[in-house]
Amino acid sequence: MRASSKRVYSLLLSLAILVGSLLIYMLLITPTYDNIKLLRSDVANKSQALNEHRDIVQKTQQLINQYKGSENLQSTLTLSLPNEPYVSQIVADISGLASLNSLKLSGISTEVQAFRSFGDAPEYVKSVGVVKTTARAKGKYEDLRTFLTQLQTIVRIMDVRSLSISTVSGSKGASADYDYVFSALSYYQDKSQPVLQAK
Amino acid sequence: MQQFERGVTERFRPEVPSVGWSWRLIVFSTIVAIAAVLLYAGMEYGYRSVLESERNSLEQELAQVDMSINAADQNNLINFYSQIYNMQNLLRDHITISNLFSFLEPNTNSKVQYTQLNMNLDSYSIDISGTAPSMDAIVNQLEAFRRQPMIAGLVLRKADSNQGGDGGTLNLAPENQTPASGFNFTINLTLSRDFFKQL
Repeated sequence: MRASSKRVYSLLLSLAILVGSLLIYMLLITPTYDNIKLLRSDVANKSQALNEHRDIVQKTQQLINQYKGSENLQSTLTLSLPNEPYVSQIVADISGLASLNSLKLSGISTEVQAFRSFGDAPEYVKSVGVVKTTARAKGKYEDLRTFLTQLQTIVRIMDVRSLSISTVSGSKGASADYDYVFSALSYYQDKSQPVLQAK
Repeated sequence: MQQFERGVTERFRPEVPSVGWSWRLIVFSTIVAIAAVLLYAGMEYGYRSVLESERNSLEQELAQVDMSINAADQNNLINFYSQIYNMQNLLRDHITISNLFSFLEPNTNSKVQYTQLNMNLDSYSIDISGTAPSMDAIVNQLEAFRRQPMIAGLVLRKADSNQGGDGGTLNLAPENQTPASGFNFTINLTLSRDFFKQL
């Protein structure tokens, strides 16, 4: 082989090896490095998450210990905001208060409405269900006044949303009877909502 | 002397360029190629494996930390917290319906008597129908409502002359006298959003 040919072949061989190296860099090293960068970021995030979860678990454990010591508060809260519609309690409350205040209850109906949640509620807070109760009654004005005042302060939260008062025909004077129609909203907490798992 | 023994041709022969394979170039490019291969192998099979192993270890540890709290306790705590959170919001918006009577009773003109009241909190409006002996009494009643800061809007829907009393009236003030004749009226009140807040 002539010396000049050897030089040309040397140059071509070196060039081929360098091009091969460049291809290794572009096709193998660069994507692997990108993957490694992602992995390092993932590991750093998980490491931070682990520290945060340890902290959360520790605080949660403290809260659980406190929560286990507040059974009276829990039972009161469950009466005010039960984990089911508990319609019988609503009807019993309205009927009992009406009877206590000499109001004649002539009709009552309930309607379970859609769940709702408060706008700024954290995602793990359970939704609130609404029961709308509509009732008709007859009685004296003072009795209705006392009835509604008591209704707003009973343990189960009730919000009167509408009220109609009209005179009973033929009934006159200070002791006249009136017809009342009112609707009130009561609330309960959704128990079926799944518990969120930590991410 | 030795140097005088060499021929003239040999002494003045031109330097022959080294011809053949260019080994330096080949060695250089081979070293570059080997370095690229080693770098790739180190990243792919060394560092990346270490990072993946570290990530798996962190994930396992994270799962263990998350499972360290009993699911029932976790659910109870979320339920308890949700109750407190929801109660706080419900009580913030709780309707104190007795405010309606506390407002109407002192602000009702002694010459005016109501015959019907319709309240709807979806629109925070109340329609009050009644009777008054004169238009002046209605004007005074409207003025009494207008002066109240809790009234956001006030409309007199109608005021018609009647021919004597027509049945019972809503006696919010015991001293009120039933007018023998005068005007039937309907007033619409728009309440401010704070009207039913706890005073």
